[in-house]
Amino acid sequence: MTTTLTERKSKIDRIARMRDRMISNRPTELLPERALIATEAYERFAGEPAVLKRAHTLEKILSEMTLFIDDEELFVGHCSPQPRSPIVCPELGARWVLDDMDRFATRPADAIGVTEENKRILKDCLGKWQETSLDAIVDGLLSDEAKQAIADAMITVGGQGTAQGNIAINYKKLLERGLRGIIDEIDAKMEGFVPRDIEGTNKLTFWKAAKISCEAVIQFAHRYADLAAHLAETSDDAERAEELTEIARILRRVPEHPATSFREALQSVWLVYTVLHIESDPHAILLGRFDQYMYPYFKRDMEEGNLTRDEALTLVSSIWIKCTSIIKLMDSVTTRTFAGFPLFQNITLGGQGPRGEDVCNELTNLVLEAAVVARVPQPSIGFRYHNKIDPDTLYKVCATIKEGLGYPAIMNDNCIVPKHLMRGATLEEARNYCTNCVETDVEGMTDSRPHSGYVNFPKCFLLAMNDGVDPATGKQVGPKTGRLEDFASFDELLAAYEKQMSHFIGLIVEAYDLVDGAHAIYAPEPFMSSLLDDCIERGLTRQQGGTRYNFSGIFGVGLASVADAMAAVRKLCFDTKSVKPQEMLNALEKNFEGCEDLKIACEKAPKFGNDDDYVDLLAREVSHMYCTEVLRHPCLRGAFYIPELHSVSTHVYFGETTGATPDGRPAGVAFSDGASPVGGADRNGPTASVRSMTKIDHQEALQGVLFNQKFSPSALNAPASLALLGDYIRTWCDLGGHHIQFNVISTDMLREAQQNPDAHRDLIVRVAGYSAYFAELNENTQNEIIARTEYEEMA
Amino acid sequence: MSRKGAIFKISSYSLHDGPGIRTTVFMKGCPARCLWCCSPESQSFEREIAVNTSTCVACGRCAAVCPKGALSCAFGGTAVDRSKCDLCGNCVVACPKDAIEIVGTELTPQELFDLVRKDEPFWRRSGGGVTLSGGEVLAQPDFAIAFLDLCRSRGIHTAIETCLFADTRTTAEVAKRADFVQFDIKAISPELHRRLTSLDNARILDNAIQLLQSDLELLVRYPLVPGCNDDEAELDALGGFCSHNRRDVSVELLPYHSMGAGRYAALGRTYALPDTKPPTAAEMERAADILRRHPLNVIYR
Repeated sequence: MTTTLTERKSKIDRIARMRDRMISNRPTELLPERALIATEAYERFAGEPAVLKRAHTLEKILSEMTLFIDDEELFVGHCSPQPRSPIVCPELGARWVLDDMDRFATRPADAIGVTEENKRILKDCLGKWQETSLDAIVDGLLSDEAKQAIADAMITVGGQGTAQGNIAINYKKLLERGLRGIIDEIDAKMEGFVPRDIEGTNKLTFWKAAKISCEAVIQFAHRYADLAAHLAETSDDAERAEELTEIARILRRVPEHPATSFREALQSVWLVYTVLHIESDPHAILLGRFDQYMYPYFKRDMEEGNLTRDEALTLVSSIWIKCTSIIKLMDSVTTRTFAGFPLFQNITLGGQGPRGEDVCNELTNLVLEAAVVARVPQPSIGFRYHNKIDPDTLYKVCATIKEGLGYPAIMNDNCIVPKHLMRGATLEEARNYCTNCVETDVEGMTDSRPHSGYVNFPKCFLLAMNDGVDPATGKQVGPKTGRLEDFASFDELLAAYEKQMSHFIGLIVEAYDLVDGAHAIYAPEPFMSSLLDDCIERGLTRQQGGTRYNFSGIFGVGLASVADAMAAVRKLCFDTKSVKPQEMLNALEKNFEGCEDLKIACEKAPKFGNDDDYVDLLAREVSHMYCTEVLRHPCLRGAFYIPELHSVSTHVYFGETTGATPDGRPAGVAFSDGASPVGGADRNGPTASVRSMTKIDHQEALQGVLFNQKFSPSALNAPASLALLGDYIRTWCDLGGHHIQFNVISTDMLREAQQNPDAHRDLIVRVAGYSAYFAELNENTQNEIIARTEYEEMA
Repeated sequence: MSRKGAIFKISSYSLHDGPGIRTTVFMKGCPARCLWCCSPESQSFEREIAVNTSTCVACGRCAAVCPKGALSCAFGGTAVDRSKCDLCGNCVVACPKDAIEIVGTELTPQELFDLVRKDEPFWRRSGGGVTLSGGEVLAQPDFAIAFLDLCRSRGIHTAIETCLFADTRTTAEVAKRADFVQFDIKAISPELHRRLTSLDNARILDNAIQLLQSDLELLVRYPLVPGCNDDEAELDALGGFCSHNRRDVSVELLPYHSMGAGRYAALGRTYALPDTKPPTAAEMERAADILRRHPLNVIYR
């Protein structure tokens, strides 16, 4: 089957219309429906254990919530009575939602409309939860010391008033067996089972709850099928009526039964994906190895002539657009640094099969194309590189990077597969990992909770110089570990840093274990658990440690910032002794006011990212110290805490709340992002920054390491430049990197650099045979480059 | 082996100076004075001080630490008395904006090799290597030969970029150590060439003939500078010259750009072509069409 160009264009136009309808033309609005139904359910099932209560709550929501099917939609399933309308889960977060209620509509980033009437309804409803929602319970559990460390911006602790995602269900199993198959599995476990102990009773309760949830989801699909059939009858557009009839047919089949076509498989995954959000609204429910679990259905339909490539492109693109229909309600502080409604939906492409073979296929390429056609910020793609990667697919990945969407990010199997072996997986399982954003998990059997907490590296160093006292406030924040002038050598200072950092990691562990336990007791997810190995087998929800692999992850924030700060102190106070310890502390206390010469000396000290061992090896040392400390701690659900060098956007928050640092950074300025160099500090080009980055041992950071690399479009426009970008990626992977993503420089970025040159001194622009730092060019030349980049963006 | 070379810049991840991901070494010192030269700091063989006028904030810190009194800050900029400056570098350390630079460093072939070789993983993956550019590589032939020999002894791909202003023996000795040779022709007419570059082009053309008639892998480059060397007769003569000596040779037209204009001010010099604009797409195509009258592989970006 072939399609004409006109047909193809009409399909692409349809995608554009869907995107416009979804994003541009739709304001977001907070609606109370889910909160109200959940509240009623909790009242009605008050006496039940949490896992049954949650199953009954899900059942009630799915059978009562308002359904709708949008114009032109090919797949159905929404979380809310209208698209881009966040839901409220009062059982998880009530206090903070109440606190923020009057700010949602007016906050500068990610404003969410809410009518006065709905505000009143929600306030009434949430008021009932003030003492019993998860955030209230956690508040009663955390120690004063942990709360103080959070208030001092030394740490954050995740999951206090929300469900936690970063998890991929077993999509392959869902598609192969359907929910009916899962129910059969549960029935088989329950048949003849007689509990002999409390553990047995718990198992039985979970199985019942899981079965109620799965049945409820099947009924939910049938409700949508009825609606589609009804709309088909009343539609006066014959073509649309046919589509709706087909939608109704599909929903009577999936997700209950195994999928028999590509379209059924997509609908099955989408409806279940929607329900996972309705159940508890976590961020980052991952779409997993999409080009693997979907491939058999795609391949068969293509081979049998039931699907054209263009049709498949439309189907995948429309799923992409639907991803943006889900919005998670976030508090106003978080949205300042996470603007743009990110949900961290990620999909994985490429990688290895169970025997280490390359598994890139036609669907891999089609998904890359769909991302460019759909042009939506999510889902973000993680592409798994390995030594046997198909060169054509790698080339297409590079071409997609050039589009400037910020993805695909490259994940390096050579570094990551061994991490999963270290985390306890078998070789086959390790090769079946999928990506979060930087983190990776064995698909469908891991609950790794990366956001258990974040630790502020640079501030730990400030405390290490000053006997645990924050120089900016004079307040005792950490343990007493001596003052700068007490240390005979830099190594003694480093040892004090280790004590401070370990202290705060310890506080995260203590606090998160309490949060983790609260989730197990108050907020189990029977439905999601039923789709995770080995929850049914073990008779435990994922919150109780039912998944095969369980970890808690901690983010180390500001690695390059702390290495730069250490390098400056080492150089000025220990090596050259040109600055007295007291002078340094005074300058930090005064935010360098009146100490300009010292500030310049600090700024001129070696900076991470330039292939300078003086500072790069400090970054390696801190990273090793951090990873070793995190890995020492067992986690509540089984295995242990795992370290990550990544900050999402907490480096902005920690920077805002931390005083001046010895790298010359004034108070309030953001720290370095992920494990990347401080913005503007790496000035020796992209090969030097790679060498600095790979001096850090990516292997021991079991949860991940983020590297953000900037490229100008002209660096991607030379002949063969896409192939060379592929070679650059290969080299990065040869050197042991975990993850790399590319930020293709836009004219907006150049204009920003023109206004604010100091923050963009690393920005290199290239022309034929000549390259220069953008900040050092005169204004006219800068304008010429902006004009040229604009041209390249259009090309 | 220990003879030092004068170098003004090393640029990694170069994609334009030969195959693959390359590391380009810019030699310091050039016999030519092309009006449009985009890197005036490459011209002198001596180290020199440069003050970037767009980043200098005239704070006076450099003047305060200068032991020779060579620097003075006024009217929003910093002035250098080059006759007093002894390149001690105190000002570079003091400058809060990194606006001052002592341009030029001297390295032995081995030192340079050790420095650039850190990029070897990228060369190996991409089929890239090292490019010696300038300045003028043929102006420091002993250094270039020793360095290129070192690279070749380790199986590293080598390239040179040259204006060919050297005697034929030197040219041949250096060129045969390069896996890829790129050379510039700026004009065929001797008089025009002298006016644009200050050099006579007789030996340049002799060397070009020698290379075009060899079996070396070559790319001829022609900087297209509007109002200077873009008239039909010049371009037609270039096409005839190249195709006569090697049929179907690749000739790349490099569009003039003014990216280096700011560097003249940094060195206390004046840019000769302040009003020249880069050629338009139509002008590039017109020039390419003139060259295409001859059997050549004409390329431009």
